[in-house]
Amino acid sequence: MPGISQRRLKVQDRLLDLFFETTNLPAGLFEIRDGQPKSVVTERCREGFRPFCKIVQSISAGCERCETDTCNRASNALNNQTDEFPSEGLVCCHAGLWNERVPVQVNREIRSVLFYGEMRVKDPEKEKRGLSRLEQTIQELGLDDQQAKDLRDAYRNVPRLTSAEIDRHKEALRAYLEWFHALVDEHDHLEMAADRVTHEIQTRMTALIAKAENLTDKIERLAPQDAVERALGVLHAIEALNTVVQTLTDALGEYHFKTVEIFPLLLKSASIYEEEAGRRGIEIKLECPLKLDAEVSEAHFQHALNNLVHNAVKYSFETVPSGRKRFVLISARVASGIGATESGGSRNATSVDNANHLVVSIENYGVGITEDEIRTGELFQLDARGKLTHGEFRPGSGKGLYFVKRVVDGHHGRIEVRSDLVANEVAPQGKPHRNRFTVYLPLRQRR
Amino acid sequence: MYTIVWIDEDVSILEDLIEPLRDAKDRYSILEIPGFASAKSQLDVILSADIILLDILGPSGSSYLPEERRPGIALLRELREVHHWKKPVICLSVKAKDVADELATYGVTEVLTKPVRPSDVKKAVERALSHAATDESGNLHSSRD
Repeated sequence: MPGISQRRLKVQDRLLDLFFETTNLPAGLFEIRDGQPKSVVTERCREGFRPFCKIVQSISAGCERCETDTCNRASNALNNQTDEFPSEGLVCCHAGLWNERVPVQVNREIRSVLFYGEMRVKDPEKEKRGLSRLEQTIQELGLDDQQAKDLRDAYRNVPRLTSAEIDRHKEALRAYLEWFHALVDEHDHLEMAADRVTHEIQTRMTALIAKAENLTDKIERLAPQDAVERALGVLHAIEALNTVVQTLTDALGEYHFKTVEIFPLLLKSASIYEEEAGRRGIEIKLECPLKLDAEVSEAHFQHALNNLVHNAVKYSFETVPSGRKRFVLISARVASGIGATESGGSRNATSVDNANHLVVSIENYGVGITEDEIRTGELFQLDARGKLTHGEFRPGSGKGLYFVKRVVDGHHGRIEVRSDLVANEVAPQGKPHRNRFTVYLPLRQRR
Repeated sequence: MYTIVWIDEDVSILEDLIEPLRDAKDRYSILEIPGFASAKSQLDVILSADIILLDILGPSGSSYLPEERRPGIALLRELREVHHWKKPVICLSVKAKDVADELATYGVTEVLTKPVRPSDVKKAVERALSHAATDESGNLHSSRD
């Protein structure tokens, strides 16, 4: 099966052919590939080039001028939108034919530019300009009288279109453009999502392989306690990888509720990410009564916790020399008759009775979440990207919080988010926020 | 002693990847830069390196994306074209094949596709430094360690 890029190109070619077959106007597309503007002209469209163009291109210097002209048009269209080279409109080629230029934009970014036409325009000014270009080309190419006559004859046979006709074709093209937009958008979305998923898995795989190889290389020289610690490191790397895989594949299946102690689940989450946090000078603190149990689907709940703790670590500012020690706080308690509403900050608050609920909070100090992301619940949507995550805080797979929300819903609970700006000063990592994710789950599930 | 600058947004997860290099502490000094925001503010440090290990990040959407969404490539281009930094660069990537040609134009010594072993990283560094020590006429420069 061809890859997504190949499929995109195939459909794109077909759309260009369709446009040509419908309008009899040859069309080409320019886009950036491998950092360079590249022209896309299908075989079908190439066959449909005007005899005029074929004559020009049969002359070596003429062919060169066409290519240079094409490259310049592509480059100008994609990079520089000046008065001389507007992003949209009619442009005259070096030999005097007119093309309509239509940019294809995705998220206000020009991804490609369509050119179509190879036509004359029923407009005195444009006719004059076209003829002037033609004569200039004849002169500069040094054509003899017969060649010049042939070229002028061919030029006279090029279809002439009125502005109204061009606009009508443009409307037809607009429909094609919408397909292009959807196509390019979907292509980028899928490729981006696939890359992010691949990155998450490969990073965890690399960490696991690295730990395993280092342990293998050194095990004979290690003290027993060090060997155990390294083996635990391998185990935690496997657990972290497992959480990524379970989150991405959603393969946990049905919920199986049973009453379990909560402290060991929190401790496990903390242990998995403790080393990663430690390397950034972040301490994971745990506050939970030893005797606290609740009815949960253990595997689902564990991976949801892992996601929340991992996020808290990942998006924490690291402890800097002479700075305050940074920490992630995981806490759990039973709430009885407490209203959930809290004041201040950005939060998605709803007022419910929390009596007989397990309340688990994960707090950190680091990259914030915008009020809008919290209010709309956008941060829990599939493939969401944190608006303030950039630089060192690259968004993850975009599936972690989506998974967490589903697990919380599956437990008939809810999740509340707060993100309070701590200071307006801009640290190298951004403005610091104190963030808290609070999960409320019924202690006992409804029968 | 060679100075290795390692630029990777997942330094805290992948620390074990450079353990064999760290163990050779008489030969290598390693500076970690945990991402491209830090890299911008530590350009002097980067330019003083003998070799760079660079996670080119992604490349999400590969060649269709503008450079600002491919910060590893952007940094590489800046080092080579703006600062004319000619020392070896080893790239780490989860999906290198899409940008292999582009990386080659920036004189990347080697591309390691994740998942990669620590021993592979160490060997790649040794190879690159060995090649860098050999000038075009095949003469070896004097060892720096």
